[in-house]
Amino acid sequence: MPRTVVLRPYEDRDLPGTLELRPRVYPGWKDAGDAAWHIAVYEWLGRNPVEAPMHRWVLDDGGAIVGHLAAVPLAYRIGGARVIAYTPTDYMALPGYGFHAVALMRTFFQATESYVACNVAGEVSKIEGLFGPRRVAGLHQAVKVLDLGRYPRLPSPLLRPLASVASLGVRAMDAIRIRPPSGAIEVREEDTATAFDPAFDRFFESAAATIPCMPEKTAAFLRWRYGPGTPRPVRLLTARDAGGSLHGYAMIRTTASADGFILDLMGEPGRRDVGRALLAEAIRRFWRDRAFVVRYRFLPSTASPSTADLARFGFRFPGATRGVLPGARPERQLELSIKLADPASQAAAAAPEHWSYNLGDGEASFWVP
Amino acid sequence: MAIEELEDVAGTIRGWLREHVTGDREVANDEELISSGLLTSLQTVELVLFLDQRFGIDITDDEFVEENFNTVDAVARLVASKRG
Repeated sequence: MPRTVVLRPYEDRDLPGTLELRPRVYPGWKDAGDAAWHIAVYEWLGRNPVEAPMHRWVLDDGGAIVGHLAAVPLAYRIGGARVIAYTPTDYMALPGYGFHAVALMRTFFQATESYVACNVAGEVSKIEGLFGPRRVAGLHQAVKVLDLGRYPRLPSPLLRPLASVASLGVRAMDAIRIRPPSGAIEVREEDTATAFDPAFDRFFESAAATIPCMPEKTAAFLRWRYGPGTPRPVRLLTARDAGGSLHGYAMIRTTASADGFILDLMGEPGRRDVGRALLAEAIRRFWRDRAFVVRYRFLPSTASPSTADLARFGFRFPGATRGVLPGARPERQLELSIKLADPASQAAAAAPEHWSYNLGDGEASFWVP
Repeated sequence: MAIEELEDVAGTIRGWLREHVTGDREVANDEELISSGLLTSLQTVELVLFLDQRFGIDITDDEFVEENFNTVDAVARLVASKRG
């Protein structure tokens, strides 16, 4: 029987259909069927402080919702200019609607002037690639194993006690290599509900003055992204001097499965000591949280810790074909891609060395458990 | 474009579908590709890229509609119209 699939803007009446669609498209994602959580995510996306509307579209097959795509606006500072670019979000279509899924993405690129996305390399990035974005770079990946004995996918359970003993050695080494800095920088945890004050605006402006391309991480953005109501709550570490001036911050999260994520780490450009201090305190927190691994994905810049510091703190750098953990798949490669309407912005943002970018800056991290 | 040439284009597309989609099953020129759900999203992308490389045509946004992709005949007509 011939189908009539209509691609149209999302309406409120489509909520039940999209809630039912998600677990059908992503049966392996345990949160896919959590209706309350997804409703809260969209309420949160609606509070995005950027002055541009979110868009959503659905594929409607005779009243059944068989596909969905949203476009989330985020602000960037590119070559000194403010650029609002959209990221495709919550992209899903049932099997059998492949052409229409591509048509959804085409609608995204028709409706939005500029695009920035950080995707896992794979099917979605190939579909997006049809509409002309340029790949900037793959995010660097640094992984530090804290306690292999608590790794859920250890190839042999017999190795677990041995691995846990080995982790005591790692912890002893960390006690030495991540001692609190003796300098003037103090790192402490602050409350994400109240911390993001004008000092974060000044910090952002100061960083943006030397880094050509970065997400516009003002206090308002940070309050929205990481403050109350964020889909996956984080902890904020700040680096301040004796006078209380802000020199950097980090956003960290330990998931229910004991994965530690450094979602964002920004040190004052050129102040490697700040990056080191934030990194050290993050590792201490992850030990305290009993995380078994720390994952940090980023584009290197003057605001990020140096590769040498990461290596000194025991981070390893998985390649495209191998993981750091035994028996694990290779770490998923995340790629930053752009398509900006303004040619000068496009040229500036095409150079990976121009960017400061962290996993938490991108839409993909909104959904990380 | 002559009918023979149109059939050549259709044959090339059928060959690509056999190799990449149906696993050696022959596809008729009027078989529905989209409304039957035959093509996945990735295969759709790969078909567009194949048409670009094989025939040197650039399919515009306006042309990326179901009518132009629902059968081998429709795709061949699109290619023919682009090649003039």
